[in-house]
Amino acid sequence: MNGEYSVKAGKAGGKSRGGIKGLGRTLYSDRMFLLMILPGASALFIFNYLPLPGILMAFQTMSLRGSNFFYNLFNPIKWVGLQNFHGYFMSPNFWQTTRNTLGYNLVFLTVGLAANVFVAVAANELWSKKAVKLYQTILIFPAFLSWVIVSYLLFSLLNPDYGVFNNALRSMGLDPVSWYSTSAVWPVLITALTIWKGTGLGSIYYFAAISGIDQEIYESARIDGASRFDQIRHITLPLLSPTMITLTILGLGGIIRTDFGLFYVATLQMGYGALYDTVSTIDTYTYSMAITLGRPSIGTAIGLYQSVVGLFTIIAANAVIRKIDKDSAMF
Amino acid sequence: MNNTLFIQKKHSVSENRVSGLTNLLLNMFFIACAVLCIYPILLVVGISFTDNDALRQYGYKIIPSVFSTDGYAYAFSAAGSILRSYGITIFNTVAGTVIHVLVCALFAYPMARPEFKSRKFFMGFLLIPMLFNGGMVPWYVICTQVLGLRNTIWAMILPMVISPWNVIVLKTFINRNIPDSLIESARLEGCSEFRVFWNIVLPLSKAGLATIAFFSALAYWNDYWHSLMLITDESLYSLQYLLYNIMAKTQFLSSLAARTAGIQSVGVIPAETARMAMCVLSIGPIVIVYPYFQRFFVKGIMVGSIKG
Repeated sequence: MNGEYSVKAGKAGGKSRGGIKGLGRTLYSDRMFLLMILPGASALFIFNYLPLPGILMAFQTMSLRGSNFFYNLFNPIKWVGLQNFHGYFMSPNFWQTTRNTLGYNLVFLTVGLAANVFVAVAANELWSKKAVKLYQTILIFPAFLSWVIVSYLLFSLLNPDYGVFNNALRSMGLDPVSWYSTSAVWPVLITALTIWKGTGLGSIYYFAAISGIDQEIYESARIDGASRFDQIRHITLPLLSPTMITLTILGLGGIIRTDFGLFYVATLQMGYGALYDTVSTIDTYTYSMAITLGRPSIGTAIGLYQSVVGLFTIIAANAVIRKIDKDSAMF
Repeated sequence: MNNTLFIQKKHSVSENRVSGLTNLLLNMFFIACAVLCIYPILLVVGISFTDNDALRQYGYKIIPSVFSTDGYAYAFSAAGSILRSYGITIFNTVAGTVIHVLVCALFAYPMARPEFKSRKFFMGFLLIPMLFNGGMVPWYVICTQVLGLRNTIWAMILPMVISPWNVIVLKTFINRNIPDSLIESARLEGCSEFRVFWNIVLPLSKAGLATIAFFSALAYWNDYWHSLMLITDESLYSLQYLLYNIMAKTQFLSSLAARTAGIQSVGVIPAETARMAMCVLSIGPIVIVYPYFQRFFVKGIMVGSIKG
């Protein structure tokens, strides 16, 4: 492994001097640093680069049995061209999962933006700074719970027999709802969960941007007779808009990916749930295809579709950000 | 002149801030949000301390209708298998966090040094996985067929030993907080590169290291995904995966598929109160360490949000 990295490293590092001698000299002068980087670089290589040839599975008929993966990969049962993609793109699952993935992300981005900015601006207006700290501490906490834990918390509300929601409905004389098989309520529940879990941390970015605003601007606005609400409208919000734009575009870069835990675990789909039409996204569908149903080739094809779209959206998002605000660009 | 005086007079009585009424309304808004954040957790705590029969009679209540610690008794009994899972999770979290922090710091320090000539290459090497990956299936096959990680404890540790994001956070931290002159003078004194790293860089990066340690510990503590992919052996179930499996079994039993197939049992499922007790026990440690680390990570997020 060491040699492989060193050669690659040398190619890039030694370019300026050229030749094998220059490469050798670069590697020699970098040797202690290379040694430090070795553990991390090995882990990255094994878990992120070694799987890349496996993309070929998308173009073959492949079973997960057998032991010599790389031999099987290059000598598959059958090369099938684009058949695995064709099957997915022609099925109603393609539209359903892609629609859900993009739709939810767009809703999360817009509702999340509004919630984050509102909470940050409102927190900044509180008289007591101690209260701000306390509220922030509490609001951030849900971000640190796993989706497994969240599924238990949600279950205590939604349990059809004993849950708090149905208890409340019964006490009002209404019919209880069987939440885990009523797919129409889940778009609202999933958005609420995302806001509940994400707003604490999400608002911190805006809160920090607000504390960076020069207080003298507010003072002079006040002297000119602007009320505090005028100041928010005409100073705070306009000065936050670069942050809003940057974070939203960054979010758009990830629009093809969803959180498996939210859509699969929190919705309790692991028990073969009945919510398929509103909670299945590309990620949960890939998992069901590849692992639950044992169709690795189709799973790989869908994963590749997602990765390629994801790469383009990230590059596009980054290009847009570079134009607007060079410092916020990722690369 | 007259006009300015008038405005100053009007405003000088109070500071430049929202009115008392608005402040009150905003506080009420935040108190409502805080209740929404805490209520589900308190509800689960309440259920966990309720008698199981009372639960079935009165439904879930935040204040137990009939107090009982049976749920906890079951969770800690052999059948609950929570102690073993606790052990697995603690081992993963401690070992994983130590390795993660060390690996990321060892990667970040060279990246922060301008005299490291292969820096640009490794920056690309670090960032490419954030842009493109082979997807779940190729990763799964490498882990199972090439690395043989299935049903080993390392399946839950090794895949998370490095995070490009944390490396960049640490690199930025080092660049900002450790002056070049300090590192150069240490070298002039004859310190080896490893000594500089160990005796100067690590001690001066404590706040940065604490931030990534917190996030990494949290990721290990909360991880169920790697178990879901690679663990089937019940003796290796982590806390999260144990909870996941109990919930999955419960749901499967109540699903239509199980009812029509007439499946009566998929093994022992703990009672509701015991399940909720296990859930509480898995949140507990996070609640305890959270306030301590909170001051670090807000700063850490800020560092991370500004690219170095």
